[in-house]
Amino acid sequence: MVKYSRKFRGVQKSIWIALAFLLVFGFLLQNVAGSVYYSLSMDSGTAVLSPPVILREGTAGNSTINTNGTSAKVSVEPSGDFNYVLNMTENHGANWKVRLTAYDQSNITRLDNCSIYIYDGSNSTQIVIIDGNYSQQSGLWYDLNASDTEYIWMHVETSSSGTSYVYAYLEIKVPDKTVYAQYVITFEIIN
Amino acid sequence: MNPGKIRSKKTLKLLGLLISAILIATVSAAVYYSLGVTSTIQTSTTDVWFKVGSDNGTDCNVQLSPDNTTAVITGLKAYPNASYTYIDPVRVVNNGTIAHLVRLRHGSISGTSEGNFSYVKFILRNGTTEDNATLVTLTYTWNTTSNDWNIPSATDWKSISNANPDTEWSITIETKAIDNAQSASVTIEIKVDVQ
Repeated sequence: MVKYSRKFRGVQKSIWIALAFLLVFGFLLQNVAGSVYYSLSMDSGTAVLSPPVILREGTAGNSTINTNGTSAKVSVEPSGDFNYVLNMTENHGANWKVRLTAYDQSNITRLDNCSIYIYDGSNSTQIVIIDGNYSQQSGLWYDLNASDTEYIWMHVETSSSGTSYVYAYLEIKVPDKTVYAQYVITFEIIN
Repeated sequence: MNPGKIRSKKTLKLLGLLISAILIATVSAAVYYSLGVTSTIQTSTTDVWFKVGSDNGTDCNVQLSPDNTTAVITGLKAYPNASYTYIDPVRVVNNGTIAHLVRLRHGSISGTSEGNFSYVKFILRNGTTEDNATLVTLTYTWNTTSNDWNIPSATDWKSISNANPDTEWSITIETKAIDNAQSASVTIEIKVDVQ
């Protein structure tokens, strides 16, 4: 009986060693297999420059422009035409396409009519809210040529008192490319 | 004690150990085989490569190495308090016979007056237009507390199929500088890992 035990103990020991070796070796192989890949490399150089288009205060309503003329808040009191609430001037000596796109809003159900236009000799309708709902949330692209100035004006009618907000991007796009800037413009309609 | 019983118990134990050993050996052999396959992929570096996107030209310039595994994009711009987006400056193409996994990973970063930046993002799209969904994003933001960049972790792996040879994946770049930003520049190297 003693002889049997010793034999089995010897066999067990060698098997345990083999098992341990296989386990460690197996894990090492798995780790190596999981981390093998090759890499493509992409370098990008970016510089901060002056903005391509500069926003300025208009002659109607109240507007607040940030330091660089790249965002604005416009406040108007209904009702009527507010011509104009902002203007924008091209600043790089290049041609661009521009449009307004509403991306958010609050308390607009009281707006019977809130229409926002870009004007440069002719009107381009950009954002329209009728009876509290968007009938147009984004305008067609409009040419803004080198050194041009264009105007943003709005018409507002309300059904009740309150404060409404329309949050929009002024999008400034390189013609024939999908490269564009987004300026945030907040339209506030009060009372 | 019955020596016969003891022997059969030991035999059973031994049998169990042998089966375990065979199983582990089989698994190990499979893992080793996988390693061989992966090594094959490693040598065929032309399966996945860069391609110049449709936004190359007017507002940025893309240069590819002869084997299309390195892209250098110059002339990218950032504007104060406004995001600036290049939807399709450069693309990833799978020209192999199998699908591959790809991810975006930080390589290196350097620049001057970098505190004037808000962020620089690299977005892998499921196609080449703005309407195509974002697969993964690698975002570098400037940390005003540590006065240094927050370096992003590598993104998840995403599969790019070879089902349609015309399918390409844009790497969109979006930049933004802080309000009242002054002159500044940053060069970011990212890696596109391929498995």
